[in-house]
Amino acid sequence: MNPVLELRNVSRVHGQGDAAVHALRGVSLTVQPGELVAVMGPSGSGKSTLLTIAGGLDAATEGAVLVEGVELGPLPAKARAALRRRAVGYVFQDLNLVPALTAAENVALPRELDGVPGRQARADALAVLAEVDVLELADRFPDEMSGGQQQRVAIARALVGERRLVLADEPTGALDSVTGEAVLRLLRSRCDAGAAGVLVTHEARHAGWADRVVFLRDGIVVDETGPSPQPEQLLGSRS
Amino acid sequence: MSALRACLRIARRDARRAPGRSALVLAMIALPVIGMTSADILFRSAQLDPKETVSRDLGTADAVLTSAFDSRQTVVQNVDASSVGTTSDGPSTRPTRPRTAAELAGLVPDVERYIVEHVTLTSAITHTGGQHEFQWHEFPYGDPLATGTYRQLEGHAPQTAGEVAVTEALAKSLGVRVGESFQLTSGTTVRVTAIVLDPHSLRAQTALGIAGSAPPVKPDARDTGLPDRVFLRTRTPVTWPEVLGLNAHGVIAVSRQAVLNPPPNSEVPGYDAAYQRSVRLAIAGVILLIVGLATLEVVLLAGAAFAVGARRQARALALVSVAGGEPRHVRRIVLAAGLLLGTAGAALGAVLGTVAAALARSWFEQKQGKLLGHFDLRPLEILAVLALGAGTGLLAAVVPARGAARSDVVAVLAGRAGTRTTPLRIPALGVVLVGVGIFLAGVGEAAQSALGSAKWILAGTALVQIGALILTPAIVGLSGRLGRRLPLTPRLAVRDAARHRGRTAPAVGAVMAAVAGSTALAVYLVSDAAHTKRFYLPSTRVGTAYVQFAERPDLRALPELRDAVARELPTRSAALVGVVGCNSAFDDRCTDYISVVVPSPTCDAGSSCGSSAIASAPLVGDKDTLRALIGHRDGRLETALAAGKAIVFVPGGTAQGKATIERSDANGEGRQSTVPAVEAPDLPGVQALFPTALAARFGGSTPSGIFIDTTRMPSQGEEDRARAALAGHSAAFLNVERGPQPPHSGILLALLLGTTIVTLGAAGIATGLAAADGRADMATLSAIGAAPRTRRRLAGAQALTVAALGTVLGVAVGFVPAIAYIHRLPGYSIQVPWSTLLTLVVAVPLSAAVLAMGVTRSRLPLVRRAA
Ligand SMILES: Nc1ncnc2c1ncn2[C@@H]1O[C@H](COP(=O)(O)OP(=O)(O)O)[C@@H](O)[C@H]1O
Ligand SMILES: [Mg+2]
Repeated sequence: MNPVLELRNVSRVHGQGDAAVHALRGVSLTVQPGELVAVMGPSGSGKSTLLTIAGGLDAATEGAVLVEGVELGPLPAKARAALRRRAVGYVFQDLNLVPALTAAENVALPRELDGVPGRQARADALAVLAEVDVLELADRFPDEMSGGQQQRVAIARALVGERRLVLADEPTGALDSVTGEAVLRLLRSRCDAGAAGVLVTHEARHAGWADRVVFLRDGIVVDETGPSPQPEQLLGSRS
Repeated sequence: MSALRACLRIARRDARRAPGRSALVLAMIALPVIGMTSADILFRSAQLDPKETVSRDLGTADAVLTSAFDSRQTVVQNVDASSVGTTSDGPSTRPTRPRTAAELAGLVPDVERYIVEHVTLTSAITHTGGQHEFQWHEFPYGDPLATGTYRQLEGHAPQTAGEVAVTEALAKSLGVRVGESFQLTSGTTVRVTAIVLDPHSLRAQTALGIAGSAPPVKPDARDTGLPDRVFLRTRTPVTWPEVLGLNAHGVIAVSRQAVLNPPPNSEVPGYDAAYQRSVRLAIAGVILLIVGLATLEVVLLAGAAFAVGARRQARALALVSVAGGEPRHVRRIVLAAGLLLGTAGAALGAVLGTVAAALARSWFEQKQGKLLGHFDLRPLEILAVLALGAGTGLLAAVVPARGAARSDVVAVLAGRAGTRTTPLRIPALGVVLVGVGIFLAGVGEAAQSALGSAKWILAGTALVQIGALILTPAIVGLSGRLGRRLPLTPRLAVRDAARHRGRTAPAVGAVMAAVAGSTALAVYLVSDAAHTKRFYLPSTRVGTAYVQFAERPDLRALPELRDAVARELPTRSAALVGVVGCNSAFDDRCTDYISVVVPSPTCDAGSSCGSSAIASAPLVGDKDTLRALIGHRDGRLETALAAGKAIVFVPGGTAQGKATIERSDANGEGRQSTVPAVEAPDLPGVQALFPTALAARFGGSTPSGIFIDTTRMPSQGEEDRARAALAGHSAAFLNVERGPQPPHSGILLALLLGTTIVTLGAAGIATGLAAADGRADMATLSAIGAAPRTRRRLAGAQALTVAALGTVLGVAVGFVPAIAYIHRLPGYSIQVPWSTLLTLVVAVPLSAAVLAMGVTRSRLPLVRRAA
């Protein structure tokens, strides 16, 4: 099977000389279809940077990033935007949805931007909304939904069309624990259905939903566990 | 296509989600569109179409003929005779008087019948006892030939010589209504049978009576000398070649046929195509300037508002990028908002403007003093205004759209956006444009022709403005460095303005453009007023009054007349004055001109320089006359007068106790003689005062008038009453010398008001923008213990910064064209309109600050910090 996401020895340096900040140093990571990878690490360790680079929002200063086998480095900005429309979806901690658009319109947005006719885009959107169990929210605006509902719609948007890579940056950070669990369960189930996911999280308990956990500190992968890591081991690794 | 639809949808919904800001932009775009639409409709309605012109000028007649004053002349006229000239190369066999009505009608073949309009000037007693002068037209306006000229509002047309129809203005002046009577000055009574309206002049003071109804020329009326107008009904239409034929006979002719089917311009003598083109160009230039300035203001102000919108939307726009939107998509969302609000604002403005034009119609007619034609809405022109409005919205969104498209998505998502500062650099283009602009204005100043210079000055001014606009961000940035020593709040404000030049600069630019325009005009207006004042030539001492006799007065009635007039005015002293020799004011045989010879006049501006405004010769009088003339008793001069010496009021008018008097006859041949004289300080309007004994040497003295010295400036009411006291002496005229009149304070005030609104608006928008941007900073401030007041104070300081920067820059920029233009006007010096400028630079920014503080909530916001 071809990996959906592949990071080869990726580094990201902000600024130059004495002021240089190394957000990532030689990080390598492969995510297969059906796989959910958790990324953990203290604040400032480079987790968010890793996600923005994986989706082409930011560019690596060194190394190669491949999404669906296509290397992002040489791609012009336009092609990277097209890649985000067709292959990569993001879910952030909160405020994921365009406030001016309804749930269905938010989900349809990547399709419409891609030139898919409005009717088709809406049909696609309704299909994914049904898959994530919030079809009844289709015509609501974000400020008429709870936080958990918004995150579900965001996940739906991340998966609309042929997209199968979800990059989630602390998607439960603004939710209570019960709602958070439900969102993670949804993410897990979408991965079981064939998508690939990268989940940035603070909480060891959430990492339990992942197939693998990658630990970052100061931009370096310090540890990598197989499936089902031990909670106390995770806690011990946090400083 | 569907991508575009998605962008439009976001823009539309966002506009609805921010109703306050959208309404603001809508209003900013709608306002100039309202102005332009209503101005266009009113302007077009004021331009009468040929049918309307014909009806008002000709009634139903086929032609209207008027004789030139001298029928030997050849008339040069345009088709509707709105412009008439004469050339004096006609045959000299014709009479020098105007042709009579019958003579005129005889010049046209085929005349079926005609009616005549004859005008005299008459006066009547008003209901308050005053005397009022007006025109008496003998004109049967009820005749079918006249239908369309005067409109009867109520009553019926006069039937007898004792009946009259009056215009509304005259009815009001005389205080009469239909059915009531009024008295002519002589005592004859006439009855008002109708109120009429003259579509050409709503303010006309006109009475209409039947033929032969006009009061006899004396004592009630004066002949105006205006030739009769003859309305002709002909069996065949009067053609344009026939009109040209009549012109050659010294007749002005308006033909129905020619007005309705105008001849080609090549057949109109004296049609100056180049002149017409230059007039059209000049009008187009002025319109372009006004529209351009209005558009610039709206683009800058609405641009700042769109920048706020884009900044508030930043996260949503970043999410669009995350979802795969390209920079052009983001750009389109912001542009779509501009187009959307622009179109909506323009449409709203066009509708309101049309309504406003309809509502303002009668007000405009009163203001113009003329009836408008039909409601003339030109769809194409309104469409052009609409397009301009929509385009303005789009244009305003261009810069914010570019900024939004370029913004750093990752930084926005992380809540780090907006803290980047672009390095400060001074755009060379701006410096070059300002330099070239000042140079061009200088070229204009040196140019020979007025039009040429205006062109250069305008072009130069435009360049300076554009250059200054380009420089604004840099100037705003530099001002941030100057703010280092300020206390905390203003320092924060100045620094914030400097760091966020993208939003500060358009607001400052908008203020600058408005203030520059007002400054230039204000400087011109006060300089013009100063010039008028400096070169004003009073006819007599300012504040005094004099009566001039236009016919030989009854000597026995003079003292009584003097006292009657003096009673009504704040009189200190009043005296009869005579004039040396005969009085040319009422004596046709009096052609001599007697004056004091001044070898080397030493007059400065503002001095009368020996002019004799009151009489054509030195005055004659005693010590009372002297006192009234100079305003006080003067022993030295009185002694000299009693000793038979002339008092000369011209500087340098005497030498060794003598003055030289020249008496020239009609042929300009002069004889000089010397008289004993003393010199007195310069007195406006009077050359010299002779004692009666001395006047005897020059043919004695003739009464000239009454001189009234006053304790203060007479009021208008006093002047009117004094004039009424002269009633019955209709050949005696009262003049009150009121001195130079003050400058156009109305225009100055309107300028100040408009500029103030723009400045407050710009400062408000910039402050709102800063508040939107600065929420995180405010949260930090509150976290470190700043008082809630701080937020208010900061808003005030931010408004102050924008307004003060803009007004100071605007005043500087505005002086360029003002100096260039005024400098080349002869005799002008540059005057600084201190009160206007101080208001602009100090009071307006302070009001902006107070206003901003007033509308800012003092509660500090709590902002989520990004993880
Ligand atoms: N634009 C930037 N300029 C400078 N430093 C940055 C920038 N973006 C991120 N960093 C730095 O890179 C490091 C990694 O940041 P981030 O990926 O956001 O960490 P995390 O998400 O793990 O908290 C941090 O030290 C952060 O300060
Ligand atoms: Mg992070």
